Amino acid sequence: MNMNGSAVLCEGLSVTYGDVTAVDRVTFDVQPGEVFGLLGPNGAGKTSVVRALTTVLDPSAGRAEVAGIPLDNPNGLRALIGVLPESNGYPGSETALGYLRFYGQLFGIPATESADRAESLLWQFGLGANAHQSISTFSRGMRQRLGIARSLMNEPQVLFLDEPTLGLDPAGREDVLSHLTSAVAANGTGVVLCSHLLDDVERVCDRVAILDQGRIVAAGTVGNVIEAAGIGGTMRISVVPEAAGRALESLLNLPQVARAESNSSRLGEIDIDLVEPEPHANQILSLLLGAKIEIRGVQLEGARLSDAFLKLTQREGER
Amino acid sequence: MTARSARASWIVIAVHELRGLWLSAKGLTVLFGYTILLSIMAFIAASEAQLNLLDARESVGIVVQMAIGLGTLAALVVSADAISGERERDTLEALLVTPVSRRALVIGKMVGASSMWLAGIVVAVPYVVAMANGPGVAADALFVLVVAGSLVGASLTALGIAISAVAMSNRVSLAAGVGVLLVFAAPSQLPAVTAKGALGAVLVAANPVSAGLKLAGLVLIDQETLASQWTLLISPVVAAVVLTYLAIRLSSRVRLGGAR
Amino acid sequence: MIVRGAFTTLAIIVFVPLSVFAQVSQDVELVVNPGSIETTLGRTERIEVRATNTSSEKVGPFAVHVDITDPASESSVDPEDWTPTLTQEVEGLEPGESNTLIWNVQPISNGAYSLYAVALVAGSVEVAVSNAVTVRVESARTLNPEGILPVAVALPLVVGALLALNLRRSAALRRNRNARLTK
Repeated sequence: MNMNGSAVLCEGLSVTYGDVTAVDRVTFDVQPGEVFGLLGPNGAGKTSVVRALTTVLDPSAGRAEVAGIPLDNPNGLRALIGVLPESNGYPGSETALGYLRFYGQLFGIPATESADRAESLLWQFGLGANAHQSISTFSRGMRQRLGIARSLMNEPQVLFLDEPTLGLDPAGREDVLSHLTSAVAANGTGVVLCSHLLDDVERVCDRVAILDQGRIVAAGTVGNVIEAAGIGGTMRISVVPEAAGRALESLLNLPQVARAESNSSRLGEIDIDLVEPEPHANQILSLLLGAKIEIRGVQLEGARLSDAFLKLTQREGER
Repeated sequence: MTARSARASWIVIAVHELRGLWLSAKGLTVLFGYTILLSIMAFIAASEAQLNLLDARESVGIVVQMAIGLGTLAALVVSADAISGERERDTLEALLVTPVSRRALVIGKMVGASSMWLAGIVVAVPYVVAMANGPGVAADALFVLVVAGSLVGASLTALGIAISAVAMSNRVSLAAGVGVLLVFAAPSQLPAVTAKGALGAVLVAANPVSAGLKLAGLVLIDQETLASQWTLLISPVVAAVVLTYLAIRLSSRVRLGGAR
Repeated sequence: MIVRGAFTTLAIIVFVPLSVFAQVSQDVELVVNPGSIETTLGRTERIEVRATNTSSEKVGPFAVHVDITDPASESSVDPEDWTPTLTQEVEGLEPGESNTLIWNVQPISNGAYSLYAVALVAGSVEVAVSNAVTVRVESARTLNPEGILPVAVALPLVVGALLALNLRRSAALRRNRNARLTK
């Protein structure tokens, strides 16, 4: 780890392809044991950040340390990291065990020890029964789990996972994420998780950064990012049908309400978008009760990361 | 992990390449095609020699030249796939994020691919011995096969790896490799008169492929002594050394794509 | 060497100085031995042509030339494919003297050919002609030329067998063969 104990310390990192700037002065840090989500739409620069931090690409500017090793010591740095690249191919003719054993040996692990570790990881990721099976027969989910197992062969201090659940069905995603979190929870591995599947990120990440056009537009906990996006929650209020019109009129005059409209399919129900979450909800309820409007039910839902993501990454013309 | 029993990374890569080549169908399929072609050529040459339509020495020379030529082509095809194939199959990035240096990666790949022409030479030995028995040129024929074949094979393997290191796709790598081989083989197609001229002789001798084939022809067909024709080994030796060095130098350019 | 046709003629032309060319056809007798030849493709046959001066005066020098033809075909045969030297010179023959000339010929295609010799003097309009010898050539292709067959068959078989084993192993790996790891 580096001087301040970060698993990843990235300062002003830029990556360019010819005249195109893919990553523009990105700064963030990841702590040991933390799962850090790097989010962004396609082409935002997530993969370029990972490739720069894993020494596959040379950054054009900035500095970074991974597991305390600067980028200019690539072999030393790579010995301490595990990586699952976004488009990771697999040698179909090899067996799962042979594949992992080979990668273990590339990290300097002797063959027998590497085989033992490979076997252990295969069982851990639910592939023990398929250890001697050709990878060509594996499903996409099995391959992703195999890839994660491979990235853990050297017991890395920092793990980079680029779209580990891409293309998987919900059960497969759940499977991969649960295996991943249990595998890294025990030994304090710092994880950088790139994804645009926001539900996954919201579930497993301690902190996130949203990248857009190569720049970080928001960073922090999921709550911080939602707050930074200035998005309130949503509220559904059910009132007696004959009071619905009066209630809607009162709500639309409130500055705390971004939008309010009657639910056309259910009489007496009003859907409300709040400018900010809970405090405003209390004020709204007080207002309606003060106006002698009988409230039959209330549903309150906080803002989602996906809402913040959309708001932060949508272009002007798309809004 | 114990450093004592951990292998050097280039050896790990080389062993993996050897397993990939010979425990999958790839290497054996190429070798099977090679033996079929060599069998057909050797049978035809032996038949012609038996009928005295072809000098017995000439038939040996043809088989040795064929073995060198086909073995070299097989080595080039295998080596041209070595790195660009990984790139195309999306398996290169996983290798590049291990602590293995690019140089070790290239050396390991080169050692693995070299097994192709080595296997070609080993397989060709029985043909050459069987055919060279009659005219009594077995020693010369084996020398030319092993020495010239190894040097030409090593040169073309290194060339294939060098091209593969920088080519972004397998198709480009294979096309470039075969194109260079055709250029190398061109002097052997010079008309006899041109080939005997000063410029023709230089062209043939300076080119490692044609020099190796020419050596086989001169020693086995024209009954020249090895001692008098050793200069024809200069360009294969130089090519093997220079191209291997070039391939290792180009290892720093092994990358997924070009940032900056 | 190229087979030019299925029909070949072997002639021997005897070149005689102008002063004696008129006599050659009458004074020189040419006999080719053996009278017929049965051979196989690729074998070398020894042909003897005996030139005898049957006159009472010396004849020569003159040349003897062999030719080969296939009377059953219109295609010509190149006798140079059979033997590199077609013509030999005879210095001269005393009355009653004979000279036997030797040709080693090697048929390059199967069939029935006629071989003959002529004696001729340059510029002469007459030639002495020998008897025609029938050369029957059988095809001689064997299944094992130069002992290459065992190697030519065995190596592809061995490599092919290794390949087949390999493919079987790969197929087995594609099936779930998970017996060894049990936890």
